[in-house]
Amino acid sequence: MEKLLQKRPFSKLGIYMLAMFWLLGAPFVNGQVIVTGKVTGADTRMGIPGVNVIVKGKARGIVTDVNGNYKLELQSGEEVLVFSFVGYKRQEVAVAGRQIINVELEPEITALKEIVVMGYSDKKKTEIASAVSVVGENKLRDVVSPTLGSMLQGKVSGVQVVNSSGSPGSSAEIRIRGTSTLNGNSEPLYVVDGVISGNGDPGIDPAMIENITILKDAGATGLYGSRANGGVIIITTKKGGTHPLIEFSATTSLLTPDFGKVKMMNGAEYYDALRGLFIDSTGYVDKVRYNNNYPKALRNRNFDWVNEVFSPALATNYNLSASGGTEKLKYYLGGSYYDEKGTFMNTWFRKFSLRSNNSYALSDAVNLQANIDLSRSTGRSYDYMDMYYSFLSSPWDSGYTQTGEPKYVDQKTTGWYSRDKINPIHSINNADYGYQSTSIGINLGLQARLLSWLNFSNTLSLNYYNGLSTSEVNPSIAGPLHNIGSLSRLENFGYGFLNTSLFKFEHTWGAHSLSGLLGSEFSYSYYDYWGASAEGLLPGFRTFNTASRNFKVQGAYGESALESFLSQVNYNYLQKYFLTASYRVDANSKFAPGHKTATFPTLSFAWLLNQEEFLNASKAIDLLKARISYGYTGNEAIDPGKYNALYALNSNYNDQTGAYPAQLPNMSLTWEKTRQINLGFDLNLYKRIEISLDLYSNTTKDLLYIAQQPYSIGYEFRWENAGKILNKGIEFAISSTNIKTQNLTWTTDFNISYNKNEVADIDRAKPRIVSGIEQRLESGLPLHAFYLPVWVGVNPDNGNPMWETADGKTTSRYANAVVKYAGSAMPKYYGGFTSSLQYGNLSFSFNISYLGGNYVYNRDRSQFDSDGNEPKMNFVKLLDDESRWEKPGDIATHPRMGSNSFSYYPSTRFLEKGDYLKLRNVMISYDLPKRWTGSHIKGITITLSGDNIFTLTGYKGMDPEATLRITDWSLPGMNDLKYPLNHQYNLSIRVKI
Amino acid sequence: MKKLLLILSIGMMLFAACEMDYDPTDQITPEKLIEMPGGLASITNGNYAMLKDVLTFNGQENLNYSYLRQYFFLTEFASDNVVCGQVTTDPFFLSFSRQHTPSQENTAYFWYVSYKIISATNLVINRYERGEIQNPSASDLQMIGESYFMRAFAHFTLVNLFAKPYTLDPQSPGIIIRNSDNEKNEKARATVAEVYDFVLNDLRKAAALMKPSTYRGPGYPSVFAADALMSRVFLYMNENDSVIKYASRVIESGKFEIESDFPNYFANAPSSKETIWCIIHTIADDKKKFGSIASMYYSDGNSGWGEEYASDNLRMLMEQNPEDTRNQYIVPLLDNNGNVMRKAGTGIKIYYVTRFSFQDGSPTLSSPVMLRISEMYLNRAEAFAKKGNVNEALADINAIRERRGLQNKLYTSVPSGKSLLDIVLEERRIELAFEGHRTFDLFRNKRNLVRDYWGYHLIGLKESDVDYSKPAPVEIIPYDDPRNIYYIPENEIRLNPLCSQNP
Repeated sequence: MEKLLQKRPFSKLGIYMLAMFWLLGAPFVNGQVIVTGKVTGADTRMGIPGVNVIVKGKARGIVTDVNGNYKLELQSGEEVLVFSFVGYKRQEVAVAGRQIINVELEPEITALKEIVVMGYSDKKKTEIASAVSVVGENKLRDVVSPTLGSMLQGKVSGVQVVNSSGSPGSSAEIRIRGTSTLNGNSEPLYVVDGVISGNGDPGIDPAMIENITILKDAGATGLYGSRANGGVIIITTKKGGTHPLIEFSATTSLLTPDFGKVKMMNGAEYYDALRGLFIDSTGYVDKVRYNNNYPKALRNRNFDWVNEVFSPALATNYNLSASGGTEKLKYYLGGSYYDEKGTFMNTWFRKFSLRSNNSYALSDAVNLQANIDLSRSTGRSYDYMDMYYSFLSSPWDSGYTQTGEPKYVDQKTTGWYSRDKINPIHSINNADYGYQSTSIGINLGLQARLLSWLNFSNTLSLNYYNGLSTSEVNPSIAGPLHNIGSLSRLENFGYGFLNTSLFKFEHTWGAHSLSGLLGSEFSYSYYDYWGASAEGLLPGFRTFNTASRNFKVQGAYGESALESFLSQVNYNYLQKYFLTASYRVDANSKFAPGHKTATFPTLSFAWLLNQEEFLNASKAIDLLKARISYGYTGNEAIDPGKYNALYALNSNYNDQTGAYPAQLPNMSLTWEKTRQINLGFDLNLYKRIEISLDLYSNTTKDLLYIAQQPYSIGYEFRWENAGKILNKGIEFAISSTNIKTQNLTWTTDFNISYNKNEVADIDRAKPRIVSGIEQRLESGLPLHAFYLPVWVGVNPDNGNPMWETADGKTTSRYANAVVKYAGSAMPKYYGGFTSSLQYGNLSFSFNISYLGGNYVYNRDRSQFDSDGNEPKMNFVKLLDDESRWEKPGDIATHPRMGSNSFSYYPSTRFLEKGDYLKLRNVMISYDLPKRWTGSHIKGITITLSGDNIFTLTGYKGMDPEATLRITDWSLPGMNDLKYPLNHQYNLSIRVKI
Repeated sequence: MKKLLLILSIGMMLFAACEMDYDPTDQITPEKLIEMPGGLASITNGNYAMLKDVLTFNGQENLNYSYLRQYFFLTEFASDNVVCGQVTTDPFFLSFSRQHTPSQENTAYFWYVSYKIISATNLVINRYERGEIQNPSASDLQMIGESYFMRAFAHFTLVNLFAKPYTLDPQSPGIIIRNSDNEKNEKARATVAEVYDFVLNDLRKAAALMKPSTYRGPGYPSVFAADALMSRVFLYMNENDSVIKYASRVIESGKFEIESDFPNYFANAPSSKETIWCIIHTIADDKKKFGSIASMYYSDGNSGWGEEYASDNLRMLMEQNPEDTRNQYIVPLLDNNGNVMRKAGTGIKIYYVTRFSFQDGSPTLSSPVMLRISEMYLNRAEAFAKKGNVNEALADINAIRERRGLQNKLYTSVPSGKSLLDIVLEERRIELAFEGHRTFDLFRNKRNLVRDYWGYHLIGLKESDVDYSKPAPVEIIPYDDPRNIYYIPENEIRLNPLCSQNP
C-alpha cells in the first residue's frame, strides 16, 4: 500500500483527504456542546461555502459546507467563534450557551470578494488561476462611443485597440495578446450574459453594460475551445436589483476631424510649388515656361476642398432605463438612441436599441430568465474616391457654381484644372451609400438546483439579423452614370440558435472543495444574402420598379453547425491551492469529414501565498497569488466549404450558366490550434494597490493558410494547415488609490504590454499586395512584414530620388531597387495610463493610451505628394523638417519636382514608425448636491469631456492608428485615406431616480 | 419535481442535431458537375465567361483584370498602333514603357486565367479520352470539341506573349503544357515547337469533333473557328501551304463574308457574317469606365478614361486614303475651333479609338472579335505573298479593300518601292489594328518595331517637352529584343522550380 501510494503523484493529496475524512467523522470523546448553524452573506442572503469557523484562541475549527452550514463540537471554555472568509468582514461571535448560531457576514469593501463572470462559470477573484481582467462600468464610460471597443483602449493590459476609422458608428478593432492567425478572424470571441455571440463586437449599447471580463489565457479561454484563439470578452449587461431605479442620461458631442499633420496647399502655395516643375537637374529655373504654363492670376484662386467637404458635426446620445424587482422577480428595461453626423459630407449613423433582462425565481430551486435585445441602426457611408478627390482636387477649381450649387464637371468641361475632371462635391451630393441593420436576440435561461451539490442550467439563445446596404446614384451625377443613375441593394439575413446545457456541481468537505461543470452545446446558423442592381432611374426615384435596364441579381445561402462537449473541474484546498482543469470537444461542420472534431484541454493552478502562515501576519499584503496555466484553444473562423474541390456556378456567358474552377481540394483541412502557457502574479497591498504581472508564450500551429500554387495549375492557392505563429509577451498592470480621505480620492491605473510576434515554418505563403504595397509571411519575422524597395534619399547633385540596389549601391532607376524587409505592422508594446481624482462631488479624470514598435505605411503621403508627377492634383504642405530639392547641393527630403515618375511609388520612404501617445480622454464631472436635487432624485451628474484630444507621434500623416484587418482593399498597417478620426467634446447629464 | 428536472436536463444535454455536412449552394464538386444535366455545357460556357469576367485575384476583384482587357492591351499597347497619353500606375503602362517586371500583376493575371481555362478544358478532355463520358451526343461532342479548341487557343496565346516567335527560334523555351486535370505543381516549359505541335493537335481534334450541324453561332468556337485558328498558327510557323489550305476552308465554307458596312461592324459583331468567333458581351457585361477595354481608348466625356490614342504613325498611314472606312474608328477630340485637343497635363493629341464601343449604344460595350473572315483573307494573302503568288495575294487584299471604301484604290500590281509582303502587312496592320496582331506580325516576320511619335512610352517625358512641330525621339526596337515578350510571372518561377525565366 505504501509503495503504491509513493508511486502515485497524488499520494500526498490522498493522505490529506483521508486525514480530513477522519477529522470530519471522528467523534470528540470529551465533547460537551455541539454547535450548528448557517453562515450567510449579508449581501446575497445565501449560504457561503468554505467559511472558516475557528475557535478563538485555538487552532481548531471547520469550514462550512456547500450550503454554508457547519457543525462544530466545542469543549468547555471555548466561548468565542471566529468566522472568516475572503471578501467578508471577520466576525467574532460569543457562543453564550447557544447551540444554533447563524451568522450573517458583512461584505468587505475590497476587490477581493468580487465575483468575476467568466462565462460558463463565475469565480471569486481570489480563486482564479488564469489571466483575467475586469473592467467595470465606471472605468469604461469616460469615452463617448456607440460601441464598446474604443472604450477599452489603453485600459487593459494585453488588449490592443485600434480606432481605424472615424466614420460614424464605426467600431474599433481589438486584438488580445497579438494576432495568431493568417486568414481567420482575429477578433476576440464575445460572450454576452453567458451566451456566445461570435468573433466580433456584438453591438451591445455600452450604456447597458454592467462590466466586462477579458479572458486572456487558455486557462480561462480553453472552455471556449475552437473559437477562443483571439481571447474572450465577456459582457455582463445590467440587471434589476431589489430597489427600483430609473436612470436617464443625455450626451451631446461636438466632433471635428483630426487631420493630424496633413494640411493641403492653398491656391498660392500650390502655385508656388509648381515652379519646381521648371527647375532642371542643374538648378536652372525656366521662368518663361513656368509663367506661360501657369499664368500668375491662378495664384489668387483658392478653394479649400478639405474645409468644404469636412465640417464639425454633432452627435447626441440618450439612454433611459428602469430596473428593480422583488425577491422573486427582477427586471431591467433599457433603451438608447444614438445619432452621429459624420464630419465628412453626407455621412451619418443612427442606432436605436432596447434591452430587457428579466428573471423570476419559480421556487428556491428554480430560476428562470428571459432577456431580449433589439437593435436597429441606419447610416450613410461614403465612396473612397470622393474622399480621394476631396483631398487632391486642385485649389484653383471651385466645387460650387456662382449660385452656390455643386458644379457639374465632366471630361468636356473646360477651365477645370484638376486631373480627372471630377467634382467630388457634386458626386457626394448625387449619390447615397446607405446601410441599415436590425437584430433581435432572445435568451431563455433556466437554473435548477437538482441536489444539494448539483445544479443544472440551460440557456437557449435565438437570434435573427438583417442587414441591407444600398447604393443610390442620381441620374444627375457626372461620370459613366450621367443621365442614367443606378440603384443597388445587397441584403443579408440569417438566424441561428445556441443551446447550452450545463450540470454544475460543488462539494466541500473540510478544507477541500471541488466544483465543476459538465455540459454540451449545440449551435446552428443559417445565412442568406441576395442583392440586385439596376440602372436607368428617373431623378429622385430609388426603387427597382422605376429602373429601366441592366437588372442584375446575385445571392446564395448556407449553413453551419458546431457541436460541443465541455467540462471543467475546480479543486481547492484550504482556499490556498486552486487547481482547474477543463476539457472541451468541438465538432464543426466547416471542416473535412474525419477532421471535424478537435479537443481543447487546459490545466491551471493558483497558489494564494498570502494565506500561507509566513505571509499571513503581513499587514501590507492583502493578496499575493501565483498562477500558472497551460492549455489549448483554437480558431475555426474561416468560411464553410473550404475543403472540397469546387467549381463556381456564379458566372454566365451569353445568358447561360457558366462554371469555372474555384477551389482545390484538401480533405484534411482542420482547425488552428494554439498552445498557451501563462505565468502570472497578483499582488494587492495596503488595500490600496493592485498589481498584476503576466508572462505568456503562445504557439499557434496548423495555421489555416492560403498556400500558393503556381498559377499554371489554374489555381492561385489551396487552403492548408501549416506553419506557426508565436506570440510571447509580458503584461504589467498597476492600479493604486493614492489618496483616500473622506472628501478626496485619487486613483491611478497604468498598464503596459509587450508582445513579440513571429511567424515560423511557413513557406509558399502568398504575399499580400495592395496598391503595389507588399507584405510577406516569412519564417522568423512578425506577421504583416512589409517588403519594399529601400529608399535612400535625394541625390544632392541633381535632386533625383535614390533607392538601394541589391549590391548595396544606389540607383535612380526604380526598377533596379532592391526589395527588403522593412518592418512589421505588429506593435511591440502598448498600454495606457488613467488617473482620476474625486473631490467631494467633483471628479476629474484623464486617460492616455500609447503604442509603439510597429510600422505604418503612410499611403496618404504618397498620394498627397506625387513630387510633381501628378501636377494637376494638389499637394500636402511640407512639414518643418521636410524640404524639396531646388539646386545642386541641397540636402532635401523630397526629390526635384517631376524628376522621376517613380519617386512616389511604394518604398520605405512612406513606411513610418507607428509609435504614438494619445490623450484619449479628459473628463470632469460634478454630482449635484442632494440639497439641490431633492430627496426623490438619487443623483444628477453633469459631465464635460473630450475624446481623442491630442496625439504625440512622429508619424507624418493624419493619424498613426492603422487597421489590422485584412480585406480586399486594406493591408494591415496601411493608412490609405481612412475616414479621419474625430476630436470629440461631450457634455452629458445623468439622472438617477 | 426534481426527478422531472433531472430527466429534462439530461434530455437537453443530448439535444443535438446530427447533420454536420452542408454543401455550398453556389458551387459544386467537379465530379457532380460533369455528371449532371447541363453540366458539360456549364463548364464549356464557363471558359468564355472566364475570358470576359473579373476573377478574384490576389484576394481582390480588380475590375481592370479581365482576360480580354489584358489580351488586347498586352498585345496592342506594345505596338506602334497605340500611343500612351499619360503615365499611369495600371501595369499596362509597362507594355508601353517596356519596363517589364516578373512581378507585374497584369501578366500574372493573364497567365493565371489562361491556365484556369486550360484546367477546366482538361476536366472535360481527360474524361472524354478515358471514355468516361458515356454515349456522347452530337452536342456533347461539340462541347468537347470546344474544350479542345479553348485549350489550344489558351496555349497559343500564352506562347505568343511569353515565348519567342516560332520563326525566330522554335527550340527556345515555350510555355508549360498542361494537359491533365491532375497536374503536379512542378513542370518545365516545353519548347516553342512542342507547344505549336500540341496546339495543332488539339485544333485537329477540335475540328473533327465539331460539325457544321452543331454550329452554335459566332459566340462559340466552331469547326470553322478551329480551321481559322489553324490558319493563324500555320501563318506564325511560315507553313504557307497549310495557311492557304485552312484559310480557304473557312472562306469556302460559305458561312462568312467580309462585312461591307465596316463602320458599324464592331458594334454589331455577333450578328455580322464577318465574325468567325467573338466573345459575346451582354448589357450586363458592360464594365463601363472601370474595366472596359473601351474606357482606355475612348470617352464621351463621362464614359471612360480615354488615355490611349491611335498613334501618329498609324494615322499617317491610314490618312493616305481618307475614304478608307477604317478611318472612322479613329475619332479626334476637337475643340470649338475644330482643332484636335490635347490631353490635359500631358500634351498628347487625342485621337480616340472606337473599335470596342457602341454595342447597344454603350460607349464602353462590344463583343470583342477573336477571329474574323478578313483575317483569313489576310493570312492567305501573306502565305501567297511568301510563296510569290502575286495575283492571288493581291486578289485577297483587294477583296477586303473593296469593302472598305477603297473600290477605286485596288491593287493591280505591287507599288514601286514596296515588296508584296510590305503591302500585305500594311493592309493587315490597318485592317486588324487594335485587335492584338501587330507585334506578332512584325516580329515573326523579323521586322523591327519603330516608335517615332510623341507619347509617354518615352521615359520621363513631360508635357512641356511635347512639341508637335518637332520630330519626336525615334525608338527602333529590334525584332529579337528580349523585351518583345513578357517575363514568366514571378509566382510560377518561385513555386514551380522547373520553370525557367525569360532573359
